[in-house]
Amino acid sequence: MKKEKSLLLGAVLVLLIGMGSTIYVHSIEAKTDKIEVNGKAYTIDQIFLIAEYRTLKLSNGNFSGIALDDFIRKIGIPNYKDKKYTFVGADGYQKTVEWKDLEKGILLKDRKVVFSHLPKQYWVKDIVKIEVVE
Amino acid sequence: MNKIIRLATGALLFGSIWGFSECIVGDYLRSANLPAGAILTGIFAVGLMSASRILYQQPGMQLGMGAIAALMRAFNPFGACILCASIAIFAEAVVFELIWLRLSNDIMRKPHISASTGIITAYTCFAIGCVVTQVLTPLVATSGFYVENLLAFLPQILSRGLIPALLGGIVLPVASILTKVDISKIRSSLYYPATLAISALLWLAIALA
Repeated sequence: MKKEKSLLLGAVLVLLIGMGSTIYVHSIEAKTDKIEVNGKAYTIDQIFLIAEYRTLKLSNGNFSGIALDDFIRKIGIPNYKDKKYTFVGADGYQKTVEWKDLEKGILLKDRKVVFSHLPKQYWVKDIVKIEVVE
Repeated sequence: MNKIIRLATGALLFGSIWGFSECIVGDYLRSANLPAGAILTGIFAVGLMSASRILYQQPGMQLGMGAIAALMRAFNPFGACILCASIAIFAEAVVFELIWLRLSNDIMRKPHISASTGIITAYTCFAIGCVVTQVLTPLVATSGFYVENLLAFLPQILSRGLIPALLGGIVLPVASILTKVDISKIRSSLYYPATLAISALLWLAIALA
């Protein structure tokens, strides 16, 4: 009887955690059409005017966007090769990569990053911020 | 001895079905933009592990199933991080074993208890599977693991676990119908050829996919 009560209580708790987290995730979702890079906000069109294009030919299709390394180089980040870069999505999901990864990465028009050599886990969607980490 | 062989072939069959669903069904779900991970855990992983546990009533068997499913996933060429997916599958089997350590078929006969167990099992398997993948993939990808990235993703993991939890709450009461089935009564002349033939077919399908 005690085990049955614990299971019922556990299930209710699990559902409450799930629902609470869902409400929290939706409440923190950023609604912006700009991408903040090292404290400065850019529209996706501005970014596409700054950096050169790159196409990645992957097993699941071709992806075209702007070269991430070229973009970072052109916006004047000092010592950019020694920094790390955290890509933050509108839903709070984030991934940190190194300069060598940016050299094989692109930003798509729909604000998604794609890396040719990294797992899909790194393909952050709806980018709202690129943090430059020391 | 006969019991051990029966358990091993049972683990091979259920593990192969699980691995097959992870590889083939998962691929279709992703193509259809459906929450593949949530559906695979809530329906296939929890459904198959609980069905086999109810049928064979043998703790530890699901760990073997997980190893077989993970091995099949490792053979499958689809997906970006095959090793991580395999480890996540095995992690789900470990979590299942821990949750079901002190559970018996008797309490599974009550629908509200089996539903509660399904909710807890599916949610925990999914959440821990996600965490394991989030930790291991960056290490395998040589990009390094950053704990702040995991912490930022935790609310989403806890949120996304809701779908498998609800699915688990439906799947387990359905699987608990198997409490009325006595697997040991199936004749050996039928049991072994059937389990081995189905398992072989599933592995062949994966090899040819």
